[in-house]
Amino acid sequence: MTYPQLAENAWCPGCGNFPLLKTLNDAIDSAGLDRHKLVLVSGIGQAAKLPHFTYANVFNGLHGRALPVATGIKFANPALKVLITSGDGDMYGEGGNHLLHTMRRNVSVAAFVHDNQIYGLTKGQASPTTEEGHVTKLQSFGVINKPVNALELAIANDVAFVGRGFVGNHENLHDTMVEALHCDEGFVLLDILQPCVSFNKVNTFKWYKDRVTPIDKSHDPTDKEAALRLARTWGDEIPVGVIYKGSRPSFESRHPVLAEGNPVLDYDD
Amino acid sequence: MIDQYLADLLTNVEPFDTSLGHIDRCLLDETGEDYQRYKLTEDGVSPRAIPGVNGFVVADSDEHDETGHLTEDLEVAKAQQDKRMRKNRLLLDDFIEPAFYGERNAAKVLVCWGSSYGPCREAVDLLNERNEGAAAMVHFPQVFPINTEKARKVLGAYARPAATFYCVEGNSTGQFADMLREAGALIESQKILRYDGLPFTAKGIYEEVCSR
Repeated sequence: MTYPQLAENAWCPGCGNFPLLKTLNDAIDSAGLDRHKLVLVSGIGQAAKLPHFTYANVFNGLHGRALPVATGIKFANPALKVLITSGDGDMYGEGGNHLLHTMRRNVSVAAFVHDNQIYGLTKGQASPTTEEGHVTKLQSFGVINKPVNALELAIANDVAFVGRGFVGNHENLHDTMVEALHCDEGFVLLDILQPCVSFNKVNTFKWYKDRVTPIDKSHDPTDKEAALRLARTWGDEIPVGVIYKGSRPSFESRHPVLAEGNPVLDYDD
Repeated sequence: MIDQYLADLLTNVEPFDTSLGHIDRCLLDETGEDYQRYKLTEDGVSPRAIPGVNGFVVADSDEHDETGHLTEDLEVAKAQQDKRMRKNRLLLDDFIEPAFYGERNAAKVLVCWGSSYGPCREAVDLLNERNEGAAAMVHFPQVFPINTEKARKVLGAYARPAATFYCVEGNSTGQFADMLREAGALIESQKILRYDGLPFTAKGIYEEVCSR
């Protein structure tokens, strides 16, 4: 097939988004997804530019507003696979309220959150996942807020899939992505640790490499208590892989109109 | 155009005609793999497809090229902006002409838009009952862009040469009066404004016109 021309990439050399993009491309193909039936949705940020650097349908909209658009796309045409690729600031900060309610509704869209624990596009302010004490040019006395634990929130909301990955572990991230992409019923949250080489001098590739540990095969993702323990594990060890799998019905399957058919495809001209 | 006043209003109406017939969604049934959502065209309108077809549908809130992908190319940015502005011509051609109500050769003409239609219409009836020089109104269903020629035609068709125009608006500055002046559609007008948070009433408009 002939692919359209892609946008010129302006990420910094060495950016953690590059391996993330490569792994995502591999995972989309491994999962056997039809790219013409795939819609990538993002907000604003360096992470949110990812859809411009690969082949799929794209809606790159407003800061923090990826999830309402993604929800609308999924409801209009449930036959589409809807994947959000946006950053920790966009998804946990500006879009935090949307995240909470999309999880609560259990809408069948997948959110892959590029988590570099900093606002990279705007050159290094603290994001919702920046650690306490981290000194930035804006938080010159160090961050005084507790980082948000999105994984814990997602498990508490009993979504369909919760996972964590690290771009420095291609194989583990690839397999977690494929499993996340195969999940078609309910909300998917995959938090992907991805170093910002220009503006986060604390959480570097080495910092993550020293801590990231693939989750033991004995972990049962349907065990909510065990999943919560993994989601809370952050420090000398950071577990990566599939953390939780819920079985709650999706919003679409319970909605009286959506359960009947596809609003776009079944639309009678 | 709808607002809270209309949404809160209770009244008896005839059943709406819901047999709208065919609605043209202007959607392509088939696209090639070279589909471009923002293709440059003479009238500025690009062929429309929705995701799921052969080509990729790419939409971006930042400046983009014809495919929809990000661009920082200055010439491409200008071409896309020029394309957007070409659509303005179509909007002007399709301008929904203002509606007229009241006496011909009117001395007092209320100019309004949106939900003030009802109160203005009743105010025109009150003024004509009082019979102090014929009154009329011109209501704009489309407020932007303004087709100057078509707007002037309706505004001038029924008013007598020295008629007084009153722009009736629910804001404190008379934004639509300013837009009409900017478009050259109505230069001289008085403003009747209400901005205390409540909608207009016929009696209020009537008394305001009588007091001037």
